[in-house]
Amino acid sequence: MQFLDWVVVAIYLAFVIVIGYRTGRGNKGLDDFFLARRSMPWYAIGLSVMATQASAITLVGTPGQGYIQGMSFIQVYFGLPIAMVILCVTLVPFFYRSRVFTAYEYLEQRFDGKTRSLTSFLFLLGRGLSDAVVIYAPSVVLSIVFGIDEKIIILAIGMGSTIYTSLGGMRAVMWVEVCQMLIIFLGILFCLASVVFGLPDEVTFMSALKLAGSTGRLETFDFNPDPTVTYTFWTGLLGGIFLMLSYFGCDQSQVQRYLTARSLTESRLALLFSAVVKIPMQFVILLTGTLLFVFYQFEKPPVVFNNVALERLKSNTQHAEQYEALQVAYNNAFEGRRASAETFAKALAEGGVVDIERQAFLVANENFENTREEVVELVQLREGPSFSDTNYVFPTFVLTQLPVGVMGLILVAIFAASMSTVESELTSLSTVTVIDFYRRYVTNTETDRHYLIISRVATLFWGTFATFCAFYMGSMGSAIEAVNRIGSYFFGAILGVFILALCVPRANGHGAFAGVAAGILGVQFTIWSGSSISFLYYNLIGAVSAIVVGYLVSIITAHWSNPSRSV
Amino acid sequence: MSKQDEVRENVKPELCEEGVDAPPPILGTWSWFYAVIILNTLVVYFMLLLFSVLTR
Repeated sequence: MQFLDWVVVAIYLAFVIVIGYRTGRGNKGLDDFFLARRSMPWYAIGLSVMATQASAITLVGTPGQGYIQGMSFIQVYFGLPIAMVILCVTLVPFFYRSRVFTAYEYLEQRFDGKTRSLTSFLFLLGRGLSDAVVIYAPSVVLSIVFGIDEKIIILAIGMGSTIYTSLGGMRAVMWVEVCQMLIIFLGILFCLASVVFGLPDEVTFMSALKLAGSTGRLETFDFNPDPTVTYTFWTGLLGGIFLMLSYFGCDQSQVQRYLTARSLTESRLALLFSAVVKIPMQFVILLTGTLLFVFYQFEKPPVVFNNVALERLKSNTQHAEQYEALQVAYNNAFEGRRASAETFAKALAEGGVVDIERQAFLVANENFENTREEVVELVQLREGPSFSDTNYVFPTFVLTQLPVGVMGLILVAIFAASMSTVESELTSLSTVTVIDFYRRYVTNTETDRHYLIISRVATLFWGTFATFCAFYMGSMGSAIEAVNRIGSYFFGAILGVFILALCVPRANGHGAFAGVAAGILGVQFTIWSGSSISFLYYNLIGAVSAIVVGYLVSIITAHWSNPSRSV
Repeated sequence: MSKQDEVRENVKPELCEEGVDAPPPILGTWSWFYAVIILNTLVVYFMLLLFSVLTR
């Protein structure tokens, strides 16, 4: 990192705080602070929706996925456009016309207070803890790769976001997110261009694609019906629809975005904008990672991208000798693969039959990957079986290959991706705290100014809480993964309750409450039973369990809510 | 009160809720608009499939 890179980062941080402050001036009440007075245009909401979804780990980890596994990860998003259309027809009009602040507020209008409070509490639990992970996860990667103190990055992301979110409220957050999303787009395009222009002159773009394609990395479809395979067309379509319905329909951090629209039409257009843009955007990110794989055919990659873990391995006397032997084998395997890749690329450029060159390249590539795998297994002996360096591939490329200034821009894009998710979660957490708990249980007769102060305090509280938790995440070990996944246990169940609310007239509050519990238990049972079913199906299982149990309990308890019927 | 605030204050509630729920002007009805989005999705799937096949 050079001085110019730091200048770029400093300009960005100052820019978002100023934009946040200026656009958020004049907040007078909750409608201003939480819903931007329902005045936002569709394109701003659409970009804000995408910025909320794109966390730093999405930006850092997805190219790594492309590098190591190829493009198959894109199937996760196959259900998204269909889910968006379903939401535009069903939940969005209901939320918008109900004039609610939170999605869970609607559940009290339809069912009762306890269902609303339970779902709100689950949201606070899931998002409150995951917010810390959203801050912590990129901080670790950035600190290892760029050599910046982890605590400084945590403070910059956590408290930076908290300051302008508490000052400016929703309008400030959304306009900042528009800028952040544009920075992210720019960063992605710069990266793709850097990788393409970094290829040797004799390797054309088409040859590079053919090279990657020959290893199966450009396969975007897998029609395997096995539900235990994580990324297939079916898990992406069926599981993905329910995952996206849960996330965009029941997660306050997303619902709140489209409630800010100046009309229902604009709410719908915002979601449909995301439906159209999301898959191409993910395609470009994954393609960048896959072309990184081609780039590293000709430029020797580090044997393990996480250099801190590698240094620890080297300094370990027990494994040092074994590592030295593997490093020599790795160097030889790389030279062999580079030679065969050059021959293959040359043959591709000349045209004609390339079967022999292709076969030789595939053998050399397999040899290289097996050698690297042996080193990774050695690192895993020391770092634990969950060690993976997927998230370190892309930042390592940025640090070692990009020119001064551009590196700063990419770092800013990673910061932007992280902060856009953090600030969305902060606004949604403070909204649920104030609307679903403070105004519901403490007082609902105070002035706008009072609620505005409470909202700012709630935002500061959640921001400080998340930053504080992020500081201690490093000592939580495997608990981080549990915290990160906690939301995925709830949102399927909450989706089930919303389906009950909209589609089952006989459903009542007791049924909805039991449905939430059943949905969570359904997902937990699936995990505890040792089933290796893809996590993309968790929301489907949660929703179906909630609907079935919720319906049955509603029938059984129908006379409880209306005693006269049983007479 | 700013001009913008005045305009907002004077907007009729029914316009905020359902009155301005007009379909996008280019396609007449929401059904057509959704159909185009789904069709676009199918085209994207097809392009991805074609991309995989052509780069094997």
